[in-house]
Amino acid sequence: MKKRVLIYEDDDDIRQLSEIILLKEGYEVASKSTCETIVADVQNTMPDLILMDLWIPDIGGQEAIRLVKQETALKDIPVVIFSANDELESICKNVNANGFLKKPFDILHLKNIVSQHISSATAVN
Amino acid sequence: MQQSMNNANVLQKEDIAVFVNCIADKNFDDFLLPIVRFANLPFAFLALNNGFAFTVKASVNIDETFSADLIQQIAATVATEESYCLVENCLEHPLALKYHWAEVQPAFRALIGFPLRTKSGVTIGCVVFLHSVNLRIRDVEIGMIQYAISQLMNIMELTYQYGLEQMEATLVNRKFTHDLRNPLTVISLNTEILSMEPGVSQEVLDMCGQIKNATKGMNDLIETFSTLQKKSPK
Repeated sequence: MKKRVLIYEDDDDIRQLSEIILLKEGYEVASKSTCETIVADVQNTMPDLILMDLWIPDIGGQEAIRLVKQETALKDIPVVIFSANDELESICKNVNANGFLKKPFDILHLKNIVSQHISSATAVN
Repeated sequence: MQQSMNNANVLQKEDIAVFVNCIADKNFDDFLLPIVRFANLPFAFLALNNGFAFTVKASVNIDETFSADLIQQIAATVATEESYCLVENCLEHPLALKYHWAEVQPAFRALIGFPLRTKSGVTIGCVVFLHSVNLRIRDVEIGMIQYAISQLMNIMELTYQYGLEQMEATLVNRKFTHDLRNPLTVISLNTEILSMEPGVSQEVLDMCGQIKNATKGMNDLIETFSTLQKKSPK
């Protein structure tokens, strides 16, 4: 069964490129350019991993991650922040995200971080 | 006190005298009068005597400006005679953004510290400390305090404006680096995808390599810029 990745990214190009890369890698991919309905989105999609940009309308990535992590049924879904922000590491800790990928990134980094966190979550479950 | 009520925005000799007497006598019944009048003054007043600290708040709206907790914190800090600790303590308070201190007169030993601002940036006043206040306060001393307050309020305003400019510059820089990294990501990923296309010529591969090197160079520059910006004086 294909693993599912849900991407939140408001930059159309980066969103599409990430989709292409992950689809080629064999993942099932869904994506959104805003995150105001994140809890419902995640409940509907039940992804194996969420890739979250930080500067994203309407509530912002940090708040979106908090909302997901507050939900008992969703909190174990790994969330990886991918952003151009300089303080990614501390933000990652603050919001209990599982990992981060700093922009600009290359294909290998994207593949690695996605597979690593999906594998970890699968092993735990 | 009637005279004071008529000059609502001017610090009066009687105000200080009332406080000092109240402190000296530990009789706080008369505190209400100056408090009422000080409610119209653009600063708070804190009188000290022999290690005791008494706060007299003055503000248009006490709920929006000085919180009771902050006043207590100030009083507790000053009561230990570690007046300068106030700077550290108050810096942690969300309403206190900048501080300046000044010795008004060695003989008078007054310290003026400020300011407290609302989150929207409205100056709501400063705190005045009077050490070893003499019960017989001369008019010239009252004038000195007021002059110092007005001078410091001006400095405070300049400092605050400077702080805003710094903050604005930081935000612009942050957005600048952020907005450069996003297109670099697009260039970098597209180049990689292009170079992995089946049957791609060596010439295209070389071009992809050049683009990759150039984007790396640009990203290094952004990193350097971002690091320098963080190290620049606040």
